[in-house]
This record gives sequence, C-alpha cells and structure tokens, in this order.
Amino acid sequence: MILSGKKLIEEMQKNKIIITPFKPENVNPNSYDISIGSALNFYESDAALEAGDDSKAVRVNIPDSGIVLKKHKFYFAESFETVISDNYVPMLHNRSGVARKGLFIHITADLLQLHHKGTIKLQLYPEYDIKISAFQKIAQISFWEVYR
Amino acid sequence: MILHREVIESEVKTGRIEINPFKRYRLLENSYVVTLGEELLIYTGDIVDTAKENTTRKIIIGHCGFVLEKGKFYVGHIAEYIGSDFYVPLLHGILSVAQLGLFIHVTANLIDIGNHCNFSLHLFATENIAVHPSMEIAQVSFWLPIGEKKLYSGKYKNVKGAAASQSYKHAGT
Repeated sequence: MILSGKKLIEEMQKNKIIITPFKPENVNPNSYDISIGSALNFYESDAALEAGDDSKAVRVNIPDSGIVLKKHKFYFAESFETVISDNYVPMLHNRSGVARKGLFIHITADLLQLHHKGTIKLQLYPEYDIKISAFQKIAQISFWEVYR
Repeated sequence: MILHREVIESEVKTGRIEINPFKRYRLLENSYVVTLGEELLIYTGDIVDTAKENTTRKIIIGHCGFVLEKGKFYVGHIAEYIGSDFYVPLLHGILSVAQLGLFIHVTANLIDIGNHCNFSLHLFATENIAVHPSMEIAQVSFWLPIGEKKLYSGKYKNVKGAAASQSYKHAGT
C-alpha cells in the first residue's frame, strides 16, 4: 500500500523516512515533490555507449539564468534532496506540470530500493526545447509498504 | 504491497513465483534483475497499422553485440522465463541502462498475473547504445494483489522470444 501525505509526515517525525532538506509545502496527498540539483550531464559524442559509459558524460552546472534542454536530447541529473528510506520502498514519478510540457523525468528507472540513501537519479528527455532552472521542482516520490 | 527480496526468494523455492533461470545474486532489496534475450524486432513498413499484422525484421544479437540506433524503437525480450499465479509483476528500468539513455518499456510496465513468459521489452534508444545478449537490462518487482484472481489467458500467454504487437486481432474493439 502507498503512504498518504499525512502518514509520510508521521513517519518522517519517527525518522523512518528522512528527506533533506524537507519542506512541508512539498508534501502532496500521496507523494513528496523533489527538485533538480544544480548539475546536468549529457553525452557529446554519437559513439555507441556501453554499460558503464555514463562516466563519459559531460557535466555542466545549470547557470542562474537557467538552461534550455534541447528537444530529443538525453540528459541525466540528480535531485537536490537526499532521501533515506529504511522501511518503505520509494518510487519516482513525474509531476503533471512537468509532464504537460513534454519532459520525461525518468526513462523507466522508477523503482528505488529499500534502504535507499542518497539523491534520486533523474533522466531527462524533452519532447520540446524546454527551459529549466536549478532547484526547481521537477518530480515526485511516493513510498510503498513492503511485504515481508 | 511490494515483495521484499526474502519473500521473492522463498516464493521462487515454493514455485509460487517462477523465475527461470534464477540467480540469487540478481536479487535486490525489492526486485530481481533480468537480462537481455537475443532477439530484437523492428517494424519494416513506413506505417505501423494497429488494425493489421505488421511486417517485422528479426535481429539476433550476436556475441559482438548490436548497436541500437538513436531515435529508433525495437521490440526485445528478457532472457528469463518469469511469471506468477499469486503475485503481480511490474517491470522497471535499471540505472546502469537508463543513464545511457535507453527506455526499456514505453509505459507498458504492468504484467498480468498468470502470464508466464519472456517479458517483452520496448526499447527506445535516445543515444546510440551497444547491447549484448545476457547483459543486465531491467528489473522486476512483485506485488501482492487483493481480491479474487482470474489468471491471464490472452494472446501473449507463454510467449517466448521477441513478439510483435497482435492488437490487430481485436481491431475496432
């Protein structure tokens, strides 16, 4: 079963879920909004990529003025927040406002693992040229009960 | 609820979850990592007509691998034969593949309870990406259903290898 927003706050008060930094206004009815960090990664070459080649990506900082993600170009990034979840399985989802602009925020890697500790990895694939800013709200995470 | 790795493992032992072959080291905290099967299909016509059977070309991924071309879509499959009459499987990407820019499904992530098969992969490459048979490609989670069950008996039941769309069989419905 999925945690409601109220249950998420209760579990955060017991330190069963830790989101840093935490903003109460980011709690939704059944999820929590997360923001993109300040860095963006992308591939410069068209050479065929092999598993492990993500280390070959170029990393840039998103300037204060924002950055335009180019239509049909692939980027990856991380959330600004760190998440620790030892009791519930986090899942990553888009926000409808971002999705309505035609931006994928993951490309099917939506499932996180129990005991997740760290930022959330995002994969960005725009269907238009889309301007984004560092630290803007870009995705949401839900938390799911585990059957043991 | 999503199954913990210990439940996945014990249910594989009781046979209530089928994963063949099963490798214990591919268990994560709440999912099982699956590998790429050798067949890929690409649609060869200019238009994919949902009301007709479409022509496809089959590619066998050799040991040297195969490069998925940027912007192209391929139907593939997992190498494992998986299914459960008791739990609902869901298919997800893994970071090592996602960070290369490869979709492993195009939003069809839900598997029917009772369908034991080589799950289909819907591969959309946003970069040129080399793939190899048996590479780790995706992960499967298992979920506890509630309510009375009716097991899957549809057109993709027990499918092996890469299978093209058969939605023309109920076109117009």
